[in-house]
Amino acid sequence: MRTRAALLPSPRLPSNPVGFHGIAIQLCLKDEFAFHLYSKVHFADGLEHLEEIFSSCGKISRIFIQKSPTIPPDAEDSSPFFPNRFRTTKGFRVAYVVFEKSASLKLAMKLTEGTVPTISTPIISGVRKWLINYKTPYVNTAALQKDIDEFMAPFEQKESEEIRQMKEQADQADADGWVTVSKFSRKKTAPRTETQDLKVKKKLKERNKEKELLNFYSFQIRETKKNRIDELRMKFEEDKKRIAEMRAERKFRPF
Amino acid sequence: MSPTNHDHDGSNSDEEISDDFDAEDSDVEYEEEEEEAASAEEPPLKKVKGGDGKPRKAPTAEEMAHLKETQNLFQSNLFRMQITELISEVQVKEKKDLAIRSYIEKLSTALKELPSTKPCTISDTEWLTPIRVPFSTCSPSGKFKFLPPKDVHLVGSFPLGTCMRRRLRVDIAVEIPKAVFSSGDVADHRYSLKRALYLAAVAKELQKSDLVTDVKFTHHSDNAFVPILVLKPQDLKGFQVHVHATPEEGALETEKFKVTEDSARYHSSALSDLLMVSNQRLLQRVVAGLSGMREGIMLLKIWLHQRELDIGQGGVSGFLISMYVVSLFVSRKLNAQMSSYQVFRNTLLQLASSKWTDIPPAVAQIDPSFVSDLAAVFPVVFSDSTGLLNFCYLTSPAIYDRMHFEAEMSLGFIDSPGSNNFDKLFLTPLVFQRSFDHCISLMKLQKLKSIVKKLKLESRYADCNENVAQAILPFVVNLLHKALGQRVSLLAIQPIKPVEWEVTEQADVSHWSCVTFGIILNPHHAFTAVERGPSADTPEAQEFKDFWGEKSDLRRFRDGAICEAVVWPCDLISQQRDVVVRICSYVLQKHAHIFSEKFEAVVCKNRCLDALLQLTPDDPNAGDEQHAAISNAFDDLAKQIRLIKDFPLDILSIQGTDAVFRSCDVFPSMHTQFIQTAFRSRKADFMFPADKFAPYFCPAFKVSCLLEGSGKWPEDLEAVRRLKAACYIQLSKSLHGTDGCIAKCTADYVDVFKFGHVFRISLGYIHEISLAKRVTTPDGFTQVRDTEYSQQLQRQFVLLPKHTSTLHGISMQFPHFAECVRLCKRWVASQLLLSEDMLSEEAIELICAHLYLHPAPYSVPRTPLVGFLRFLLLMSSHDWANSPLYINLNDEFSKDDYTDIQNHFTENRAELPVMFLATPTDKSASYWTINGPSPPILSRLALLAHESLDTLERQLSTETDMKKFKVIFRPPVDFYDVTIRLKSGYLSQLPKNVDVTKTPMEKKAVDSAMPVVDYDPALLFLKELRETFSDIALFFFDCYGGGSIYVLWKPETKIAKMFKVANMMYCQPTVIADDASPSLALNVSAIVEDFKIIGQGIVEKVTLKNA
Repeated sequence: MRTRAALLPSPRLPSNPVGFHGIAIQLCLKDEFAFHLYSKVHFADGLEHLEEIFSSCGKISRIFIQKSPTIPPDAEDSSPFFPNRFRTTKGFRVAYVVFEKSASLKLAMKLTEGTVPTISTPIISGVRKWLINYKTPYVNTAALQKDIDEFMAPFEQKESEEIRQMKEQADQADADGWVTVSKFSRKKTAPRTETQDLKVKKKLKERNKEKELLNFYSFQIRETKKNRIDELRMKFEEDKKRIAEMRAERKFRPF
Repeated sequence: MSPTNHDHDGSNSDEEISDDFDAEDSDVEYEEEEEEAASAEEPPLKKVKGGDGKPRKAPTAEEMAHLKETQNLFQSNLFRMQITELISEVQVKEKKDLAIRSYIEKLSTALKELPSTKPCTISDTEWLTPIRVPFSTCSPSGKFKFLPPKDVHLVGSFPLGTCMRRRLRVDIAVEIPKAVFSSGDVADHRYSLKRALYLAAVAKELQKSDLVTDVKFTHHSDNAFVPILVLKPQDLKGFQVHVHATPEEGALETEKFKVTEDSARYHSSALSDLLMVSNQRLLQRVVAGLSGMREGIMLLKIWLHQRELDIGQGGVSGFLISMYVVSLFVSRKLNAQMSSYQVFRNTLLQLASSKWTDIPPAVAQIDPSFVSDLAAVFPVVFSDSTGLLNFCYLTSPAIYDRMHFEAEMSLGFIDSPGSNNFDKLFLTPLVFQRSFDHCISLMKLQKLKSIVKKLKLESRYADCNENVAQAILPFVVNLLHKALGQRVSLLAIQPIKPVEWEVTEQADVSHWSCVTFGIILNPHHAFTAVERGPSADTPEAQEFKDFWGEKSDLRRFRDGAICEAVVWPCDLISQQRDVVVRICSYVLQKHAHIFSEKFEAVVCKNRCLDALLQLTPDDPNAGDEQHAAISNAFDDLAKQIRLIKDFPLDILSIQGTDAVFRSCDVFPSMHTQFIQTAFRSRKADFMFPADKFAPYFCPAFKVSCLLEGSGKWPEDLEAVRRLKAACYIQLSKSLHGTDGCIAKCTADYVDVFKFGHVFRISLGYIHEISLAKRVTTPDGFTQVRDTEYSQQLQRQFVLLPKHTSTLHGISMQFPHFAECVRLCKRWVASQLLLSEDMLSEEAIELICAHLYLHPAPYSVPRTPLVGFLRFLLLMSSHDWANSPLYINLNDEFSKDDYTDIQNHFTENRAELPVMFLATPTDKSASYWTINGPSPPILSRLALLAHESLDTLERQLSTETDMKKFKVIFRPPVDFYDVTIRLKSGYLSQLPKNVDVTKTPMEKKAVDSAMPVVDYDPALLFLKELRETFSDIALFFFDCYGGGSIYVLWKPETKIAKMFKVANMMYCQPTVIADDASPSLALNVSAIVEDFKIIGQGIVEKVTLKNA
């Protein structure tokens, strides 16, 4: 539950080289205080630079970076070789800085200018960044293999464990007499998927249709014939409409 | 269905429906309603509720009749209505008709009251001053005395009601009294001279008249023997009066003008004057009162006009086609009950199925000996009722052939479903340059008088009233036909528009200084390098040798025969398309003494855009060969992969997915032509870019390798990823070092360097796609939804491989298709619009495929240039809002598909991409245009295409400097908001730039290490810019060596926004008044700073538009 308490944009907000586009501050009605800051991309990952700016105000407990206030932050990379594929945080991002003490926030709100000392932690961008990126995929295959093995071993173990468990539980009633059905059960069940659902519905529909007699009563025959004329007429009207449109577009001028 | 099946009825629509109607009348009880309708004037019809709840009426007899008629007499309802609209659009309105008639009435009274003059010799023209006689001939003797015309007749299309409202011409014929002529006037062109004198006298008097504002001369059908007067009427606008002169009946004997070889034109011109009135009567008899006939003729005239067939000397004029319709009526091929559509269609059928050059048509039954006499003199014969006059006396076989060809073409598509046939038949003008594969012009013909003598064409020269071009034309056409033979499907002449000139000036023939031939190639023979002649020991061999001269040689063929043969060496595939041009200029030089070098007399601009696809000045345009080399290397690699032992999974398919595998890459192998040594460092087997400059670009050709589904695959995407990485490790280990390959393994692909090319192999398996689509809701229900990742996989492993193999098939099927695609892509890229979110490469390929698969009303393009012209035409004129573009790949569309797609398209128009491409495998989504172009980009594309087409066509007809053809590949850039100039040292694709000075190629040794792959700082910069600023700006860049990135702010950014957290991005607050809440505006200067930071190193300069 957030309430907007104050908006304190600085009218002389800078366009310094790494300038922010604005600082907007929000107060949280929780025991933590958050600080909204509109930051930019090319802080390689941004974290350390933000930390540097706000560390002057007090101790920071955490910083969240996300695409927008409503999109949750990305999951963290589990391995250096397999970075998260679904990175949403590209381009402009929102950062939440959480201070340990609320006093720090008051200090931070007085900040009008934050400069990142580019000498100690230089921003890597442009050609230099691309050169580094070019080299990144050149991995040591042995290390890569090791990383894969480290992931796969527990994964496989867990998988086989699950299978074992399911097999065990199959066809066995629990205390209340319920049987959990799985793909290892003796009696197979329909999988609970959308496609399966659709299949069943379609089958039902078809079965109902088969039961209907279309050419039985004379009124049905008459009705279909009438419908056909209607159809033709409708087409005629549609064609007329199309012609009118074409005429409006002056489509009939051959020369 | 073959067109002959439609002999009698105009449509093949199912007859059961009309039968049904018959049944309807008796079966369904509508009588009471009909009675009611009859009894009351106002139709308070009993409303019957229809199935959908709407009220409906019983069909009236009239309505039924109308519906039935439509089905029987017209192709479809829409077609019928379109014809009605078209006719009412072109025909003269009744009010205007009356006004014209009363004007002509006045004019003819005035003409009949002209004063007669004193007799004088015909060489004396003093009395006419300042009027110049519109006919020149060596002064014959004789007397001339002007007498007022005996009568004035309305002739031509106006009295028939078959004339067009636009550029309306009303023809009248003044009858020259008998007394003006004497019996010997047949000789020495004296008839024509007297006729011209008579018209000059009329012109002199009319100049004084207040009925006309302007009097000019022109040649009827551009025939120098038949000058006519062109009058601009006073007070009435929108039409001209053409005054013909015809001798009074019986003034001259028609038999005296029987045609001979030497006087073919003179005599025929005279005959057509003499018989004008009687022919008009014949037309009037057949056409008048039959609206089907009249409107059918109008349709035919529109059809001819759109094909430029009715223009100029020997053109198929309205008169000629009307006469042909009459001849069909007389021979009962047409009847009085036929609708306009049936008259049109049946006439087209007759045109296509008969050959006038073999069996000449006639308007009446005439003695065959007359016809054979005419056929001896004229190549194309259409005899009149007397058998003396050939209506086609001016018609060159080249013109007739084109009409025949066009009729066949039109019948070929008239019933094809899905396309807008009506537009193609009647509304699309077939511009000459867009219709022909090659255009060859003979220039400065007036300088070539000497040729006439050399070719012994003096008598014809005289018969053509001393016009060089007209005199040599039949000879040249024959020569080209003989030389080209089967190589061409059609050889046509560009019609030359007749000119008008002031009555006080000399006749103007300057428009005859250049003649252009259009050639449609026959793909089966046009590109063969060897012309096989007769066997060496036959008598024809000598003739063959004489014809081809030093080019002819004895050759032994594979079947053992020793024959005379001519070889046109083609080292490269791209040279094959010139063979026809080379043959033309060779035979023109050898037999017609027209030298291409000396006068620039023979001009063919088919190579004018070649430079755009070349990287160096001496680059031989070997795109086809380069593509072949790459695909060979790829095939080799695929074999190697399949041979890998103990690979854990079976490989189902190995397919390339890049444009290069469809032979459609604009510059397939720049990296093998330019050495990449500089600006990189080597580490083991791999090269790395250095930071000062970028090495020349080497692409990684993407290959998708599909693995078998197996129980070994885990049901978890992250685990699948690990497993694939393990496969990559094994793949690279097996490939590295074998057969000269260098392989580099990464976690997501393997790069393999082979024969100078780098292939990037990705592994996938089909189940992975459904795995990626699987979304499980919290309650355990599994849904299938497209996710970003599933779409990416789908594209990489299903759609792109399919697209690639289909397009590869098309480029195999149509010679030079690939080069056309490359040209189109080059153009789109140079206009800064080639990108995934604007116009993707795949979309361009499909559009080009459309041009080749649905060429109607043109024929299939056989040269890249004409394909490119049609691409520009399509881009500038297609109505994307209302019609999808069908691409019938592999001919898989059924007839119903077209209607289904159209219906789906109309129903969901708002949700579908603006540019909708429908293929048999993608009927409802238009996958390749989902991301773009957006409406503004598409309309810009159309605008640019329109301008480019205009410029290019103008250049093709007038421009001689080949370098200037680059102009349409230079984009207009002044409307972009920001320009980011890049440092040229980082432009790794610079040699592809349109205007860069090309350096000669260096010899290149094959690399021993893998080059720097897929590294183009400019593209990396562009990508990052787009990722960062896609919400507020569009970025434009020519990916083929462009030197600047252009930025356009999105229009919504120009509006100041509320000061809200969600709006903060990219913005700064504007100056705040004391109380008012601040608003936000784009922080341009900070963004520009950002551009510089993101592109640190590569940005040279950022310029703002207004700064």
